[in-house]
Amino acid sequence: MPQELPLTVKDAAAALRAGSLSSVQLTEGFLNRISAQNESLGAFVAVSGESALKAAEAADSDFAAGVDRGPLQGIPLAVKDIIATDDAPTTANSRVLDPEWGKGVDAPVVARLRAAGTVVLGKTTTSEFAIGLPDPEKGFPIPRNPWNLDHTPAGSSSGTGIAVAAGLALGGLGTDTGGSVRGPAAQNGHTGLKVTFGRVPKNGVAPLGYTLDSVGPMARSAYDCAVMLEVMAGYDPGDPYAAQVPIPKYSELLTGDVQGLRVGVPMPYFYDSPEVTDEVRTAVFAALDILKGSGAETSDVVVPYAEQAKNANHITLVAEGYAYHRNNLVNRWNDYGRYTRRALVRGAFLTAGDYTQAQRFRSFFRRALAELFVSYDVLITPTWPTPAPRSDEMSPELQLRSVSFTGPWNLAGLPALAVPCGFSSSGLPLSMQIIGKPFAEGTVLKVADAYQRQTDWHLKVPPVQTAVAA
Amino acid sequence: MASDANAAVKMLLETANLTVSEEEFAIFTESYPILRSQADGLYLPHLDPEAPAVSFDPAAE
Repeated sequence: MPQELPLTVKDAAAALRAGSLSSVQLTEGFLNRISAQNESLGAFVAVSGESALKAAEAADSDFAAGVDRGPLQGIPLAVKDIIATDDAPTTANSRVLDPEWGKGVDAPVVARLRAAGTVVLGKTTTSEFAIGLPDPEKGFPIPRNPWNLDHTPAGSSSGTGIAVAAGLALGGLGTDTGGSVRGPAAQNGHTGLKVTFGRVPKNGVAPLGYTLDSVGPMARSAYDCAVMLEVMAGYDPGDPYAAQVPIPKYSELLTGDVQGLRVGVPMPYFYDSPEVTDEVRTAVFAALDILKGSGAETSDVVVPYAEQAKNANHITLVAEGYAYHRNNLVNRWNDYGRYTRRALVRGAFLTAGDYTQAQRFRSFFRRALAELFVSYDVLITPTWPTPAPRSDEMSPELQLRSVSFTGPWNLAGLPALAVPCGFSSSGLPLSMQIIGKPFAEGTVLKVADAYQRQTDWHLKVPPVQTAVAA
Repeated sequence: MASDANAAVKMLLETANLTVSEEEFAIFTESYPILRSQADGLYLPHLDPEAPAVSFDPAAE
């Protein structure tokens, strides 16, 4: 087993092609790390060691035969446990989900990754059905932030976020309905992309908000997310919301050139809300200065009705989630985690008119943003107003009251990328968010890549890994 | 005001056939006015011309 494993998909792909590392060695290395650290970090619900090694052997055989399926061949990844995989059960971290759900089937997005030669290490912890907070009484692993185990790794794609940050996988899949890719990416200190609604098919994924859910790549760098998205994106007839839009070669768009790029900085709400800490603001401003130094042009803008957009997203999410869960909530209330049911029940507290009005607001907000994006290529905000809070300070009711800098972009269906941009004085990651036009994932990835060529925040490794690797 | 929220939550839970603990009922009663206020805040006058962002294709298979 190699003593040191590559940090990025890009470096691992180069090592595999140089022959300095095999996929089997790489996979064994990650499986060993998972074995050593998962009990304390709670990243994986199920580890598919046998099938992972089999896939790694197949990747090595392909390399030996001169078959190269692209940059993901032989790369170990993790899959959030609301996405069906044929080699492990899907639980949604819930006692409620039918054990037959998704059994023996790969979701199309997983099938695409396997066809590209990836190695699926296992299923990662999620907030139950992608909503709420962990309930220790339900028997699933409790995910912990690798930078400080007392703090939240955020959710709902908690396990994939932890796995990438702690070096238990080179990348993985998350889903995002109100911030569930970007939150964990931000609070664990790596890159995570919420794609344009419809960009990646979501059949084979347990739903939360039908008109909001998206499947996105999580990895250390923008480049790694780009090569994952190249494989993940594209139409599938099994998803009624999947878009038939051409797929660019995202990695080839990452030129490092942001000369003349127009960056809107929406100060109201996203920077001036009382919840935003000075450290977050300072870190994002410093990131903006780096982009300006590379030729980007920044100016202040206003995103109209941002607070209402957060609320409309939440109302849509809980209404659609409640519709899916209603019968089980009636019959199996206590089988749900205590925080899950407290969040889902809000769908019963809203009227049909409230849901419809949220969709009318959505029409207005989408058009307002389209008008804004005539003058700007991207918007940049903090991803989260604070570094990761302590886990014991979290509650669904606090989340209801809090600002959200991620939810508005789910409502509008836009691509949004979380990018590490520093650390708090308490040693926790800080993150900026880059938002783009519909299907402009290439632009947001390009901006992040240009920034990551000049910084190394995305390559920082939490001390827990150092301790185990030593 | 608190009694209004109490009555509303009680009625909404009963309508939804949901049985919750006393502790949960107290939490819902406290947070319901916030949710209600957030929903009410979306009924903006300038949204009158807007159609909801939902679509339905009667020809879809």
